[in-house]
Amino acid sequence: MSHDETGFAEFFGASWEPCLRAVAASTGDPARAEDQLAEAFARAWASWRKVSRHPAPRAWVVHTALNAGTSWWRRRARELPLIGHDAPAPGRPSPALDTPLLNAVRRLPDRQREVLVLRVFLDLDIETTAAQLAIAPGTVRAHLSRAVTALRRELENHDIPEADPCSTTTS
Amino acid sequence: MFDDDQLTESPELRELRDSLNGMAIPARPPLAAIEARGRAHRRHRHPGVAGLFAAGAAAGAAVTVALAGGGSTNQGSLPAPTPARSHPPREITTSSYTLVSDTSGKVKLTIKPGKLFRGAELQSDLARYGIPAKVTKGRLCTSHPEPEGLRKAVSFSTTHQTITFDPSGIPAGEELSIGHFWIWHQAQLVEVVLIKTGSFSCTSRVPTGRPDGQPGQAVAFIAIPAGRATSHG
Repeated sequence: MSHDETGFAEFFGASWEPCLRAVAASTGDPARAEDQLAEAFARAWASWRKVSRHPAPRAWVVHTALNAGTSWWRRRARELPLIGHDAPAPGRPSPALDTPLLNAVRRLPDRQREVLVLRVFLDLDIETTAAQLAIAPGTVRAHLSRAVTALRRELENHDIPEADPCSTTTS
Repeated sequence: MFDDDQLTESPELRELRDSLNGMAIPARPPLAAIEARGRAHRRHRHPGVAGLFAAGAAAGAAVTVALAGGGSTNQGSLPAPTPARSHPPREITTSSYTLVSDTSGKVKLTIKPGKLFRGAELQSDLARYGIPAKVTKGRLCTSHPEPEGLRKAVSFSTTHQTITFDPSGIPAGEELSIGHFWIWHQAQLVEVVLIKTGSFSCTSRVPTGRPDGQPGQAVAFIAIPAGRATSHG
């Protein structure tokens, strides 16, 4: 195994899990996220000399996976259920990913969600996130701030029916 | 506007991190499968090299498996390093299928009736023979328009429930899509099509021929009942 191959194998072993969390959280569909991520890692393997010099190879992989997902949705034809099969229905969040917070993340504008994925899910610093998205560090902060505000609002709205005594029906 | 620390340590983002950390992560795919898929990308980018690759595959598949790595299972650890240009085994036998290669580089797959095979395992084993394939359970991936030339890459036995793959017949930039379906009473349906690497969509409909319902050369499938086998090509 060459030095390049060893490097990729180590990267793949260490990065699959955090990248899958990031992509699955963004798509809500673990099976689709796995497919997209496998494709992204394959592309990383094919271009490993370039990707290995990237300032944040995991960000490259996640970005590629999410782009692959966009293309996938555009190409996707109608789907029919398979009788008696255990494959999850594509496009529907799994129970673990079907939380109010993650659903709110998926409703964020693309750029805010991208910033969240890189800054929060992959734990990149502001500068690296900015470089990856080709935007200014201040713009990253602005998107992050708006995303947090939007999530807070979504959660507050979600909590209101349970906290509001007026919503309780009595007989 | 918040500063960065306030933002990243906000309760919302902490909860977000916690919910992700609690997410069950399925086993990652075998490294060899990723490499096989990546190799198809390289061939697509460098068609000149693809010719050499195909010639090597036809001569004995030594080059095609040089980077395939070892192991068809994934137990959470990386496959053991494989010496470059190692030969794949002549035969791989699992509880549900057998793969046998011949001197021309062709590989014959025999699926055992009534035995459910793991798609990731078959995909990994095919990769060891230099056969780029996307094996999906309950789904079939297709490209539009469909690439032609499936018959150069795959042949079916009408009597022995076998599928024979010829790696040299798979064009650069393309790979096989193998859909595996349980239909009823332990009967299995395996459908094989050629797809363009990185440009395909997947559907969970039970295959009955071409995606548009017309018989044609671009799709073949084999039905494997629990007892006697039949196939269609």
